[in-house]
Amino acid sequence: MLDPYIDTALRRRKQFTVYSPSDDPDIVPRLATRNVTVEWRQVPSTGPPPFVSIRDDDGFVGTLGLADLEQLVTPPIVRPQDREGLAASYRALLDVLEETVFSSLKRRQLLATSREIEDRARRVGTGTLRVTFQSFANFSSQVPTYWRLGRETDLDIHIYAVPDRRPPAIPNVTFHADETGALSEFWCVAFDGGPDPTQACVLIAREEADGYVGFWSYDPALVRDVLATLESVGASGPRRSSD
Amino acid sequence: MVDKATPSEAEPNEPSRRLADDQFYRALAARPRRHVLAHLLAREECSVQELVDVLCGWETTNGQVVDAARAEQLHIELIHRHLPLLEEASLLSYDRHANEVAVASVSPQVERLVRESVEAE
Repeated sequence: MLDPYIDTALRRRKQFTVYSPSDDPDIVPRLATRNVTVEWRQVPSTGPPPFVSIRDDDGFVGTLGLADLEQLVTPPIVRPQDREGLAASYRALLDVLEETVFSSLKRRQLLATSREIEDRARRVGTGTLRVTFQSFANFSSQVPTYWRLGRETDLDIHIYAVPDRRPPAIPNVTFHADETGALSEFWCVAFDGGPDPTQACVLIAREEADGYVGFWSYDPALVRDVLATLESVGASGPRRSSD
Repeated sequence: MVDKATPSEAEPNEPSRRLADDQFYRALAARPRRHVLAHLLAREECSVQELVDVLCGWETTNGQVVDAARAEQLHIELIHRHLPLLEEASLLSYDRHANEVAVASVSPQVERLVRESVEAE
C-alpha cells in the first residue's frame, strides 16, 4: 500500500554528469541508483576539482563538488538543521536529490536514517510520528528507545506491525495491528514536524530480493500524505495498548 | 627563415603572429576564457553545454551549489562574450548550429601559458 510513493519517485529520473580528471571505476556504481543515470566526462588536471552537474526531466538542477554530492546522497541523512541559513540553490538541489531512490539499501543504512528521524522528532518534542515494524516481535528491541520517546516528549507515536505477540504498554504510543501484513514488506518512518512543517520528514523503503529500495523526503505535503495513508491502516480494527 | 609579409598582406591571427597581437591578449584577459581554453586544449572539441558545466564547476570549489539561474547567466556570458572573443582571436571555432566548439591549433608556448595561468590560481 505504500508502493505508489516508491513507484512515483522511481519515475522521476535524474542524470548526474561527473567531471573529474580520472575515470574512477567505482563512481558509477556508487552514484547510480534506480532512478539516476551517471555519466563520466574528463576534465584536465588543470581543470576544476571533481564536480557533478545534475539534470532531471525539467532540465538543469545544479552543480556541486563531487564530495559534497556524495555526502548528500549517502544515507543516513546529513542535513543542516538551520534551513533558514540554506542558500536557495542548495535547498532546490536537496528537493531534487531527496527523492532519489536507492536500491540495495542495507538495514544499517535504514536504521541510521530512522534514528535520525526519531532524533528529530524527539528534539521537536510534539507532533505525530508513525513507524512501521514488520511485527511486534521485531519491535521488541526498540522498546527502550520508544519508551524514552513516549515518556520524555509530547509526541503522538503510532506503531504498525503484524500482531504476532502482545505489545508492551508505552506512554504516548499506540499500537496498530497490521492483520493482513500489507505493511510488512515496507520500512517507513514519518514525522509531521509538529508545529514546524519544515521539520517534517519521511523514509519509505520496500524490501526486495537483495535489499531495500527506498527514498527519503522533506516535502511536507508528501509526509502528510504518507501519514494519512498509515492512519487509514490503523483505522481498521486495531489491537491497542493504551498508556 | 620565413619572409615576413607586409602588415597589409599578413593575417594578424596566424599562429606565428599571435604573440604580437593585442586581440590574443584581450582574449586571455578573463579567467573564464582561460578556463574554457584550458578545457578545450585537453578535450580538443566539446559541446557548449559541457563548457557551461565546466564554468559552473569552477564555481563549486568552496562548497557552493550553482543553481539553474547562475548556470543560465554563465551560458549567456559564454555564447555572447567569451566564445566570440576567443573565436575572433582564432583560438577556437564555434559552430552555432551544432553548439559545438573546437580548439584551433596553438603553439606549445601558448598551450603552456594557458595551462600555467590556470595552475597559478
